Amino acid sequence: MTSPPVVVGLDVVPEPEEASRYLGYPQGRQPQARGKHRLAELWPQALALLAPRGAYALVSRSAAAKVGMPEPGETVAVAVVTIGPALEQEISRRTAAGVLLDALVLDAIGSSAAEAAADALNLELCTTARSHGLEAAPRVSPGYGAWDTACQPLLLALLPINELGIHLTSGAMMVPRKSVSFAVSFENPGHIGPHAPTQCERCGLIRCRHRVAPADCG
Amino acid sequence: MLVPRSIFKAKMAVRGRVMTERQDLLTALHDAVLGGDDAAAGRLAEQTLAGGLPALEVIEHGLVPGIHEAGRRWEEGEYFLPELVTAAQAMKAAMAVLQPALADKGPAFSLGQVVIGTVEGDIHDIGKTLVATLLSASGFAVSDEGASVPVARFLARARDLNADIVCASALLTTTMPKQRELAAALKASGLKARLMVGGAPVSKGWSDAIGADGYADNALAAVALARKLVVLGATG
Repeated sequence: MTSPPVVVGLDVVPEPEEASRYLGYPQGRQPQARGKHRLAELWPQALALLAPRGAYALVSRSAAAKVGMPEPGETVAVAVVTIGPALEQEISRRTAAGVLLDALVLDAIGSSAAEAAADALNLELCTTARSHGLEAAPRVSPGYGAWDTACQPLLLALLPINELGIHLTSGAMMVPRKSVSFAVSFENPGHIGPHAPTQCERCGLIRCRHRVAPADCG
Repeated sequence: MLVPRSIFKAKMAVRGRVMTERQDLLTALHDAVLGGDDAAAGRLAEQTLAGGLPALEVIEHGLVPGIHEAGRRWEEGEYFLPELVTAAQAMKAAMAVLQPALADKGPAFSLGQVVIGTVEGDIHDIGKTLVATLLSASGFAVSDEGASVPVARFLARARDLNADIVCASALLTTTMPKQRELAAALKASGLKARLMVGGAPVSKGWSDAIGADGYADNALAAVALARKLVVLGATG
């Protein structure tokens, strides 16, 4: 089962708690008064600058293996989402002006929005898998686990990134930065099991301050 | 000549009051840094100078303890990035007021010259900017070259500024090789600058492997390492 690329608009609802987590606060901890005030004040401004969109295509196991995806399923949905350039431009502007707290807060909101955009498209892909009588495995991205970041250009070559306004730097970094590429294996029911590892559990970045699952250092 | 007891007592009382006022100002400055209040920090720094306090004393007894306490709270998990950033910015605001007074007394006060940037192909900016801010707040002269900085520009700026330290950040495994390229180029250039590397995927092992002089995994560790490299000449 394969399908050509499809571009979709996305409804994105980032969570303030997620933005707090990206600022480094553990669950249950809130920013102190000034940070809290900036987060509340900048929240609506940041949301107004979001233009979340995404694209996906269904490809074969061999096509997914060619772009470096570890252990691809029979069918794989490859996907990319972005929140657009406007919020990042504002972050750059405030960084250059030396308003670092605002830049940090906006960056955290942008990260949570990009993750929410990935979640939204992921959910759509789960529904697509189910409509074909299949189950969607947890998503994986280049740079996490065994998937080398150097494979990013190969993965994005399968998707209409120009249409989404995404390009890659010489270091294979997506611009806008708040973009997420990923792939989801479609598996036969029962194949995935109830305890499929989460993204954090699969990721090798042990020191990541955004880690929400304990690292397996063994 | 004996000073009458009443005059002596009055003089001591004035001196005590002045000492208390000085201490109150330094404490307020410490608290302004700790609370990340850059406006108050700048205003209080002006008051200390107007009150005749030597700038160096203000830095050593007001600002430095304030930023150290912020760092301690960050390490203890009481403070997080926003609090650390605002503390560093408050210290910078006070330093901007005090620097000219230090310059009047002699050569510009600086622990050393730093050139900092994110390597070419990597446009992450904020983490590097935070390190630059903390270095600057800690007394280093910092030239922030921004993001996606080519190796040639790192070298040119290090040469132009006679830099003591070059800091190169890489946030992706695909951009880390540029740190290796920079390390080799810096060694070959014969410049005195020592290389510090950092970034999420970077490790001490990587730093050793590419021949960098040190690695820091957070902004405060970067400041400590920069001090060590410049003051002690040690490798981190």
